[in-house]
Amino acid sequence: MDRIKLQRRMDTLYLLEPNDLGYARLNKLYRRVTNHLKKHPWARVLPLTTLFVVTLTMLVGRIVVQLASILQKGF
Amino acid sequence: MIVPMKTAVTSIIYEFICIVRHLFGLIFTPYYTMRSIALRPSLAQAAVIWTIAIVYLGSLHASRVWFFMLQMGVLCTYFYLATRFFKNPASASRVAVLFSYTLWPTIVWFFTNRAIYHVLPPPRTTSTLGIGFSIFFISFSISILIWKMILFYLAARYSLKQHFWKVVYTIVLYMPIAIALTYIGYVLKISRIPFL
Repeated sequence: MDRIKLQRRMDTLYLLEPNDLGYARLNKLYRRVTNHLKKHPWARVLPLTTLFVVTLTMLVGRIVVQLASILQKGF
Repeated sequence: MIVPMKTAVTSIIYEFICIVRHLFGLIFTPYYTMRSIALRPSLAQAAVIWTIAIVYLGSLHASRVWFFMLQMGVLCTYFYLATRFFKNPASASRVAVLFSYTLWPTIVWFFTNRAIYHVLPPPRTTSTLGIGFSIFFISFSISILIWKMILFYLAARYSLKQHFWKVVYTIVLYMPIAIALTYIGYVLKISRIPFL
């Protein structure tokens, strides 16, 4: 029974081959980025997007306000 | 007569629980959840997700429903043919189910946008509250877009079972088709704003 479970687990883990981007440095960067996105991506994505939009508002505030209006009206 | 009825009810409840579990899984652990969906794809779950999207779009305008179905049909066909091109044919149902799950960010955004529209109808102003709300709304929209991109990449990767670059090339090659469809939707006044 345990052997079947182990076999299933191995099948799950090796459903895909590990990604190879062609360069060791790129592979390292890819793993670092995807590690953050595999679990709780919101913890990284939300603060970054908020920071980006706040910066954008400081530069072109009117456009951000117009974009929000267009998006709200669009649907 | 009672037994099949019981089985049907049980399987409906089971599929519903799976959909909810997968939804939360895609929010908190997208990679592992997409893997489990790819291992056990269920067309019933995909049908429910499609129905939710169709009900929303149908409440806006009937033409949006057939256009949405056309977009999804083209998307699934393209990636199904891509799996055959890479000589790694996946079942059409797996491709359809994986890409159906990428509809969740769109559905969440649609319903949230509608709720916000009723609470705070546009246009936004350049007052402090208006700017504050715009920052919140655009940040939320970009986060949903990033979530969508993550799920789309994972769906493509688990459909194609190829390395990063091949998956990216395949998605990039799909872009002209998506842009053309969006343009047709714009010209026919079906959808003024592109949605994925």
